[in-house]
Amino acid sequence: MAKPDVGATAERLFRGFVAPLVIGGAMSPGRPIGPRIALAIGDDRPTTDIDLAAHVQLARVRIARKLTPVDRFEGLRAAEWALVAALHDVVQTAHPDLKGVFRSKAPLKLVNLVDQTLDQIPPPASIGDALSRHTLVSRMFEISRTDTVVSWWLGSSEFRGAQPPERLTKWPKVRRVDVASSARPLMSLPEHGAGIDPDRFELAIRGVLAKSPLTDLATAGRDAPRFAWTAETLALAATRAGRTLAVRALAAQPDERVDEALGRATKELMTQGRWKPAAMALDLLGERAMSWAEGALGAAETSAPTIQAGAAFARAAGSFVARRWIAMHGDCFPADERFAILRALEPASTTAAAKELEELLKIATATLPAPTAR
Amino acid sequence: MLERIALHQTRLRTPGLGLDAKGVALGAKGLVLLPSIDRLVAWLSVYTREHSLEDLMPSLEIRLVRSKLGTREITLAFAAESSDRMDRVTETARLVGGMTFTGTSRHFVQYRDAGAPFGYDAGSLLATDAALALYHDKFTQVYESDKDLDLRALLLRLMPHVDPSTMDESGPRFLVAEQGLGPALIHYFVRSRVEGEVSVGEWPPAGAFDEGPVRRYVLRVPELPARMRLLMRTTPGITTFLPVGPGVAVEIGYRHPVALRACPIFDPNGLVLLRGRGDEPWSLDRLPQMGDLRAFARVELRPDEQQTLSVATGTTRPESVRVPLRVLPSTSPWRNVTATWIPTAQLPLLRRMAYALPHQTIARTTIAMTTRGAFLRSPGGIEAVPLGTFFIEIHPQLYIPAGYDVTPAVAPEVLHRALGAPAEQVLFITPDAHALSVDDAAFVPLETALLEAQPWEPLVSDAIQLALAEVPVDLKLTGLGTFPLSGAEPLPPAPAPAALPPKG
Repeated sequence: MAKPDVGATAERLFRGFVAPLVIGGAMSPGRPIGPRIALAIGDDRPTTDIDLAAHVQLARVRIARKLTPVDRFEGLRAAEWALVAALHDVVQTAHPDLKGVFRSKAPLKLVNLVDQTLDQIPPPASIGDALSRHTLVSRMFEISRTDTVVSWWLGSSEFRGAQPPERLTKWPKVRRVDVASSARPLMSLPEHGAGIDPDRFELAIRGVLAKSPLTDLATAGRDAPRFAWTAETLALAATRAGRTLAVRALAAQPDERVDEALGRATKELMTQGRWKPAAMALDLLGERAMSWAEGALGAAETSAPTIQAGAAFARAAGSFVARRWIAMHGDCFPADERFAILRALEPASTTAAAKELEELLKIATATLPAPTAR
Repeated sequence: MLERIALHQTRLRTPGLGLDAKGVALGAKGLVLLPSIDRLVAWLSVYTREHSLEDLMPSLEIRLVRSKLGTREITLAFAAESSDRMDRVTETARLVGGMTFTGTSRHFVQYRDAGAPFGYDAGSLLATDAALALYHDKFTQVYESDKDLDLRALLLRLMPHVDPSTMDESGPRFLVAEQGLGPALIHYFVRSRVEGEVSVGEWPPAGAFDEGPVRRYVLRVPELPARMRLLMRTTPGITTFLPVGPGVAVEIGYRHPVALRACPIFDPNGLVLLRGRGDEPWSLDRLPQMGDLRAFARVELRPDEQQTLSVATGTTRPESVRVPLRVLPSTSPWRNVTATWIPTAQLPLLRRMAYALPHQTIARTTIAMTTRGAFLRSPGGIEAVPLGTFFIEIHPQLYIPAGYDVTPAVAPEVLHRALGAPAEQVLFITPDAHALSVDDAAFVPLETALLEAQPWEPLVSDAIQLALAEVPVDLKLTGLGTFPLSGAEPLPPAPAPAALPPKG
């Protein structure tokens, strides 16, 4: 077997996948890469198209600057090459041509290879590392394929991710040609001509998200895969700088959807009795509630809209933590501002979700060992 | 699930949905969902009261659709074109209990409302082959198309309402008289000096027992005298109609529920006569040749013995009495001073004065530069430019100096004709009775003639906007070859941990 050309594969990966993923435009993934080449690309591999590389770096800075003032990023590190290669292979598992007559298990085989790649990628070593990974895959849920169905008086044909040939659309009135195009977002690709099981595909996407926890939080309001707290996201939220980035990333999404996702995920932690991770999640919710209450001070009062149970739980939990924080460290606010913040937090603390939280906290108090005197 | 579109949001999930110049989400089409026919009629009635359907007609499609549950509703689709049009349609739809959507082919999202001033986008699209998928903040529903509804047929089926106020409306009328009454009615109008036109229309026989087609006299009367209205209204066999639009008229005493003047679906060369009491409309695909009523007046001949023609024996030209034109000072007050002639020597003064002139004066004044100076005209009065010799407009395109009269005192039309200037020339008669002509096309707005061309500098805002725009990530598929996984190799197996040699 010929020795794989790592340089050519990296170049193809950068031009056809990484650059469109960061900048946008036509994305043309190639043949699957696999863990051996993905992990062999290494740090700072140069690309031949210097202009494209500069454009990608500029776009990464722009993505990062939505969260924090950063002026430049280094070239792609080995773990980042492996991460984008893994995402590349995940996308290709939904390729309609991958499943053939003599290779019915090829999609499953490829997704298992993706798992091997992801297993070898370490978690982000620092907040900067997490931010750098986020700039590469932040737009992964914007990947969308356009499928076109061309029907004419004698038949029809479907073109997935490709333009129909011109000869099929000629003489539209005489041949009664009808062209219907449909957008297929990333998470719906397995349901449209792919040979991969949708649940297995979602699992692979979760694996990619686990390696970029900031992206996981920045897209928490997504429909699928549903957000759940992971060790990586909790580790990010546990640090001061990471929590700040997370709160900013969450603030860029619709409040209702984010609260619903965070509330549901935090409630799962508490019902499973995982109190320590739940405490980290509650801290983040408290910070969100505090930031919302401060923002609400200058805004006109509006009637509270009807919200879903998850969102109500998130707001109740955030309100609980924020009120507790003010009780302990509230001296940093002037008295009238402190009073106004508490008043803004008051409604969320009296809902049914707040009572549910109170019950869960009672269980936690009973379960955890009492602190010992030293 | 719908998502509100935020300010400066550029990416939308719904296919065919874009943002117009105001940032409002807009597809190629607008769609109004109405629960029943009576709501559709109410929508047409309310919309046509204020607006014309002319701009909607080329793209208007009314369709009966069926939901999965079997309920039938009505959609009214049209080209969206702009958010202004959509806002108008939405206001009307909201009034009659309809809902407005926008989209391009199959997926339509709720159009903007007070809760989302930039509109909505679908959070996730339905995977459906149905003809229509509607996304509303209260429901998401797919519909199959049942059948198309023809607007003209619908309007013809609607029964006009009783409305006595139309009996006293003035203006032209159509009168339809049965065949036996036609000649008598025509002679009555001729005797009464009522002007009008008449034709005969043919309709198919009402039943198999009729021998031939039904003929009726159709009269168009521009102004029916008030004293005859009651007679025309109450005489059996004569039906009076009031035109309500090109090619369509409604019987007097009734009013159609929809303002037909705003519905340009009737052929102006034909005639549709909508009758009350639930009677079927009378329609003429093409209005027959109409003749003047006076052509049907009674003919009388003079006796043969009288002289038939008196012929003149000769003609002569009148003696010439022409005198030269004079311009003399007059004590009559100045009126209609709308032009001034500024000699070349005073033009620098005009330039300096331009900085002090109010905007209204600059906007409505026109100027023509000639070798004899500048001529300024302002229809509202030229007094705001206190320079040069003022002129009074006594006839379109003819000016005489203010404070002067021309002698002999002929009518301005006669004077203009005597000067013999073409219509496109503007004539100025100076105080020394000399006529100057300036081409009308030489007059240009003063505001465009005032400013000198300034150097300009292109700004780069568009370039920045383009640079900041995020292009969607469009996945294109290419072939994977015969062995797609040939390059994807697994990791080599990890080496086994070192073990102690076997005992012994």
